[in-house]
Amino acid sequence: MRITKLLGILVAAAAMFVSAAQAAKIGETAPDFKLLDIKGKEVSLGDFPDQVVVLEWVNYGCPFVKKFYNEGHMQAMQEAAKEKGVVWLSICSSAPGNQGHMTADEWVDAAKGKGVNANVLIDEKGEVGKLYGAVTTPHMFVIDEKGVLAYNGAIDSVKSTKTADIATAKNYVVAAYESVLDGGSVESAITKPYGCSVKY
Amino acid sequence: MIRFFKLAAVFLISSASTLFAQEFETGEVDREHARVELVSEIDQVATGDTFDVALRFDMIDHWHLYWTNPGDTGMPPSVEWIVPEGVTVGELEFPTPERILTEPFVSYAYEGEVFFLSKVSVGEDVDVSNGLRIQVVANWLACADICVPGDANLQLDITGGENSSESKWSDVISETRASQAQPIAAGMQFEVLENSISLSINWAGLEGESFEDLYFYAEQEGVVDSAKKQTYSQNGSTVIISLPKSEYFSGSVEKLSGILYNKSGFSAVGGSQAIFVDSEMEAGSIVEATSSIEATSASPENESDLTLGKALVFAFLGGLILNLMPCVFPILSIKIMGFVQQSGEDKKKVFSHGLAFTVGVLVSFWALAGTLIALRSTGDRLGWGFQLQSPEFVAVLLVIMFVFGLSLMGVFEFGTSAIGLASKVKGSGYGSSFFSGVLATAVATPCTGPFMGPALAFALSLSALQSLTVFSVLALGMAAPYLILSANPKLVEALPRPGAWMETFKQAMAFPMFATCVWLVWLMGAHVGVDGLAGVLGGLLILSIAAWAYGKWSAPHRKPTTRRVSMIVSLVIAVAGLWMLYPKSSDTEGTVATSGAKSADKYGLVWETFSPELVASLRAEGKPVYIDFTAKWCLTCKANKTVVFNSEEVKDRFEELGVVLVKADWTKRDPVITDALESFKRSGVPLNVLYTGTENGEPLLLPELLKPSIVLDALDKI
Repeated sequence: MRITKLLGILVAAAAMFVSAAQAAKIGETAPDFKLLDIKGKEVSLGDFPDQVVVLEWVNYGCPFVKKFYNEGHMQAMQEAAKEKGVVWLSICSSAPGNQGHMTADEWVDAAKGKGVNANVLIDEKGEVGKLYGAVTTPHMFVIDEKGVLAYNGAIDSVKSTKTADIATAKNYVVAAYESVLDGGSVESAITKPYGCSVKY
Repeated sequence: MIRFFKLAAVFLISSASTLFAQEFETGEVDREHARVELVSEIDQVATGDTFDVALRFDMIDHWHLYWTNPGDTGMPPSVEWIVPEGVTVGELEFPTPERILTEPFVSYAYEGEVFFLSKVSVGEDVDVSNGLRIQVVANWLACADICVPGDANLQLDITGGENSSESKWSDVISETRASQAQPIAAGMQFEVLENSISLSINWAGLEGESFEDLYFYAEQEGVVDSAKKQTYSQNGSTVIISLPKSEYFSGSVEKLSGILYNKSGFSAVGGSQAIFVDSEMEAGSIVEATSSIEATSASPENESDLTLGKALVFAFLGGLILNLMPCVFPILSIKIMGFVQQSGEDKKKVFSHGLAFTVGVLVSFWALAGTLIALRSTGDRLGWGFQLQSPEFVAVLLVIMFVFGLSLMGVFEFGTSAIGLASKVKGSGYGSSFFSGVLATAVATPCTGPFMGPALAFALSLSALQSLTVFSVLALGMAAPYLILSANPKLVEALPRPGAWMETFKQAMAFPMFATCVWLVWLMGAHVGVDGLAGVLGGLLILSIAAWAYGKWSAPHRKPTTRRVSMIVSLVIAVAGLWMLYPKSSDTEGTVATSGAKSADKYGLVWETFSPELVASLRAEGKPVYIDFTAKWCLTCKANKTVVFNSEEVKDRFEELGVVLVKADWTKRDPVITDALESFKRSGVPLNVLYTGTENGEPLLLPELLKPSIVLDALDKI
């Protein structure tokens, strides 16, 4: 039992090492992926050519994620993005048995309960999370119309679990996709993400 | 119960404003993952007391709290204090954290029992005879595999009493206080490299210290990658730590501060395991650190042997001597002619001119000193005469000298004035006296090096105010003869009367000018090489043609059209001459010796100059090649060389294995070297590469921060 756990850690560490070496880089083509969404439909980055895509790493059990979902802030951001033609994909990389992991059916209920309309993709093997180097929940990525990674980092500038702080924080994700839509360059293209660790 | 608190926590988070309406609890409170309590080192409090209180957490196994910089993920606890007026509570003091692995992430955090201290001061006019109530609203994030935010409103009542007495927490609080990282006025410098940040800490307490699990906890977030290993090298009292750069590092980092941890303890601070260092702690100590790195490579002993008093005397004498320098002497002669003319005038007026001149000299020296101080603070270590490292500056000076010389010779005259550039110098207004002071200084700087070296080096090692003093005295020394002459008109009267001899004297003065030009041309040679020099001399020739044409056809007795045409023609010729003479960027790299040239460094190692062809041919011959990509402005490169090339073992192995050493000096941005760096996917130095000599063998890229063992290990692969 112990040996399997140790092996597990080694494999995970090796996977992390490999993924860190290939982790998505600003200004380079964002790596493509294929995942099943919570309705069982296959979704890949290639499905959205010529569209700006936001990736959000999510875990409903994490207090930093709750900060944005409990009073509807994240849902509102997702709707606002949709209105501007921006694709929003939430990805859950929690491994089975770890916090935040849910089956597709549980996800459908949970998302409905929170009034979430954005699509949620299940990455229980953590492959896509490691491909992008997702560290925290939330951890945000913005990909431009040409498929190039334009933003990697925190959701906003105030690191806390308090919903009240959202109002005073600078939202990096909205700033990033708006710059991309305007054809300009993203001012802070890389920031340190904050939140709970992704439960690989 | 737990559920209730969970609910309460959610409620509190969602409505922060209601926090203060909450009840405060006394004693130890139970939270989901920790028992929390506000404790004090004293039981009784009196007016004027200063004591420690502590927020004590007793964490459930595997749950942790975070340091100010939490590392990969997490968030430090925060507090808000509520105390009576006149009582102050200091900032929350975080103990030295541990590195906690929740694979694959590493956090800077605490497990088990942890005390966060704060200093409480009771003001002299605060009555605490009825006791003191301290309240705190604490918020924290506790994580194990998952994270849960926690909060508590805690209260502590201390009874009033004349004799402040120790509480049961007093021992553990003073232990915590004693183990707190002690601030050290260490010299600290850092350099941001491609994949790492090279941090150099210079402190006497590091000399001869043995390290175990040495680690630097940076306070700044998102700068250092907490999940990667740090390496270090030790050299005397300096330790250089290579901090792996965070993936989220962007832009620049202004300062670095944090805790240096050594498991086996620092004996200089009584065996304490942690010291606190800050790159902005003390400007003086940073300079010290720089010079100690330099000290191992250069020999600036003479800098510190001079006391300030001696330096001032040297500066004054140096200033006096400046007047005899060939580059100043012509100005002197002009000025003396000025005095000769003025000698018939009002004595007061003459002295005022002397003063104006002195101010001109002073102001110019201050401007120079200010520039030097500013440059020094940006990290460039420049000595006196640094302007002469700039070929552009030398070129401008050369043109001024040469044109000035031609004019003195009588080849041409600027307008009606006898001496072109000196027209203002020769004028009678105070402005002209001031200007001649400025000109004298500008022209004098190239000559000061050999005389003023030690005094100026000393000045640069002083505080800004002290170096300004040295520069001022230097200026006064230079202006002294003029001031004395103008104050004692009798001496001026003793000077010869103006007459025909002045024209001869003026022409003779052209020769020191041209002598200075010879010296400046020689200096240019060092920058532009032999071919570049031909261009410089050619440019001077064309410039002299322009001057001659101007002098011949622009004289006042010529027809206005002739004068206008000649002025335009000579201007065009002059511009052509200047263009030819001005150092081109390709010329400035002309000094780079031809590829393969050998030169021995101060470590006794013979280096060949880098070129891709050389490396290719050496590899084809099957020889092992060690390439050092370096630059003079790169501190880490210097530190690497000091540590590695002083090692006899490394030198012996180089010789045994017949390794060919190749140096790629990137001090001037050489495109060939830039391309070579890019071929190794690097954009900067230091980079050390070893080709093991096997055909088509992959090159070994050594880490940015080197120590002998790393190089020896690499050499073992040959």
